[in-house]
Amino acid sequence: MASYLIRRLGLALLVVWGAVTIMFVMFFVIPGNTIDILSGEKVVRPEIRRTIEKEWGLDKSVTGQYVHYWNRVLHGDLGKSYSNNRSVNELFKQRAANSARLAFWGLTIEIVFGIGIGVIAAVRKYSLLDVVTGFVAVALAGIPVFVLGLLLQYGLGVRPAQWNWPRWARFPVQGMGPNRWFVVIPLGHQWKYLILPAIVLACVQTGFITRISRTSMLEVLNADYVRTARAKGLRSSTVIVKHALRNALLPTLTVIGLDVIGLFGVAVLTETVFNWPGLGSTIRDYAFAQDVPVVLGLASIVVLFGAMASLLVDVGYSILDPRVRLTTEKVD
Amino acid sequence: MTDRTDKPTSSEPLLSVRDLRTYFHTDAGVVKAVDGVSFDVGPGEVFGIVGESGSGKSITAMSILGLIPRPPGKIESGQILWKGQDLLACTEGQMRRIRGGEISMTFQDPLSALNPVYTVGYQIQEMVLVHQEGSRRSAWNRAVEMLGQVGIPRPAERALDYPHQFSGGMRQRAMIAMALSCTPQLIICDEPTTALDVTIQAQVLEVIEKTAADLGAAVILITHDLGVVAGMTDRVAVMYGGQIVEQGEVDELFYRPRMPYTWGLLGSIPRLDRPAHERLKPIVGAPPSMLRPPAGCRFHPRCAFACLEACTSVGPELMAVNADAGHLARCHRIVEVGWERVFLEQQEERLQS
Ligand SMILES: Nc1ncnc2c1ncn2[C@@H]1O[C@H](COP(=O)(O)OP(=O)(O)O)[C@@H](O)[C@H]1O
Ligand SMILES: [Mg+2]
Repeated sequence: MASYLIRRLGLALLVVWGAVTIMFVMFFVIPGNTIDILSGEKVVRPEIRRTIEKEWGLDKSVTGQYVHYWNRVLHGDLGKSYSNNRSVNELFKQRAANSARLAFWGLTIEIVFGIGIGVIAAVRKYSLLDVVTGFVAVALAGIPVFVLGLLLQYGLGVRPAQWNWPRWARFPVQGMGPNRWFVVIPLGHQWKYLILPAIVLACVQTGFITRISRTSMLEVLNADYVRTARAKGLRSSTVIVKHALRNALLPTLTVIGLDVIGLFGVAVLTETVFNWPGLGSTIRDYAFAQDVPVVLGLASIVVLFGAMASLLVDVGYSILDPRVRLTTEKVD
Repeated sequence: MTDRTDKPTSSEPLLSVRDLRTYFHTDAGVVKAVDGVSFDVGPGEVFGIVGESGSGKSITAMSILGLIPRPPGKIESGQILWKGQDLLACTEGQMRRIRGGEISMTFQDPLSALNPVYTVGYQIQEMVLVHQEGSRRSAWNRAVEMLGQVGIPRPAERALDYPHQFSGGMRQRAMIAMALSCTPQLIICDEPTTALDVTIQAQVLEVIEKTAADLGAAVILITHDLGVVAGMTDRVAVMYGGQIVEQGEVDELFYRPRMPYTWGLLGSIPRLDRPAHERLKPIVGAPPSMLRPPAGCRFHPRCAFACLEACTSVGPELMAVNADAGHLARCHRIVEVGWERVFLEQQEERLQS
């Protein structure tokens, strides 16, 4: 188990290194007018250009810059913004928590509802509930984030305000509001700001997870060991939860693991639609400003988190499925 | 073994299956997987069910325990009397107590029949906890004890292993240990020796015979190999196309079979006195489609003796051949004078050629 973890960790770090390197090369190769951004002027005099290049290390070769970049990153410094000189570390500290809270609730919603509905649909196969949730899941998986976000904003925020609905039925549609949290738990009215973007963030994947957990649950319910469990005289609730669900979770967990990485793409859109001050909307803003250090720095951290998340999923998988644990086969 | 053979089977049976019909309603039509099966099993008796793959043996067994997947399966009619009580009329709660506690079952292919994510010991312990009073500790000890009884070496250690860490034979033993852990009065073993090599087969059969006898449990031994039931069972039913086509005490069935299908099965038993390529003589043709079984006798398309008009048009009844040995056979021709000698003559011919 330990050697498996070490190898898996090594693989995750390799992925991070590869991704950062690719991004680095990509940003470096993309033609841009870095110096213009840095100087803030249209026409830059050569001596100023040289000073700037020296100051930002742009006079070095690609390899030199690359080594320099890693040197800095490994010392915990993600660099500074080209456009406003702010430290990327600071930006990250300010925004990461907001993103993490939104992502946490998005994931929680998609896991709880996705798996819950999927399992019930499988156990009550062909019931009205199964048919309706199946239809909704497909619709949700297909609807673009922007459209869903705007629909929710309109239906639960704009319309209620126009029609003077009671306060509790109105939801704010922009920003993060009071910013009052206990770790990830919203305090006071914070939840009203959180709920719509969290739902939007969750929706796309909830549809997928519902379908996957329904399918794998159906398969597992027909498995021989589920029949054995029934033949042992266990209650059907025990059979479903202990013997079927645990095995059905395996493929679902893989999807969730992949999804944690994909979640980031959805988060950029969701944070944009709801003006949520997280990493996603920050990266978008700085990308429009062609601010390479910020985009590269934040994206690297996101990749690191993604790799760690998929590592965690793998560890979870090996806890759920003993066949993955690399124990030596015993022969008798 | 010998003292079991002469146990009177006419006394109150433990299990009595009466005219059981289990159908599957599929998109293609109704599959009559079990179509009017009746048999009795007495206390402590070893009863064999033999037939080719697809003849309805497993579905018969699963019907007894109420494990038919529904839909598409449904028990259409019949009775399953367990100590006089009809299991088909039982509530789910009553069935739960009987499953594993009074009647237990081992399944074909133990690798897929054991849950891959729990240890073997845990899976037995879980069952003991359902049916017996006592602590988790004592249930675990019971699991280890049972694994030891079926001949698994170092049972305390192996109980902590997962099914994939066991060999095929060990898995089958573990299934048997589980099935016997709550001292049932009947254990149904579905193809316990399939996919095992011959020496392991013999060991597993011995374990079933010995542990069941120790507990005084009756056994229904399901197999497609008449050779397996020969040494072990008291009575045998031969199934074909969802029906019992011949039934009787094991010696009677082996030495005086009347149904050409049984002859075919006997012909397909490996014989050590013949060269390998001659030993097996499988029955020609394919098993019948249960969706559209042949008219008349279900075996007639493959039967070398189906020369009567009735063979192709009228389904034969199960008729008594020798009431003393409980011998029944389903064939139009058994009433013919000298019919029982046809088989013996065939055997002679085979031995000479
Ligand atoms: N779930 C099912 N749906 C449709 N047909 C089935 C199902 N399970 C079994 N059958 C049919 O029932 C018949 C008997 O199967 P079974 O009892 O498993 O045979 P065996 O004698 O090999 O154990 C087979 O023809 C099979 O096709
Ligand atoms: Mg079978």
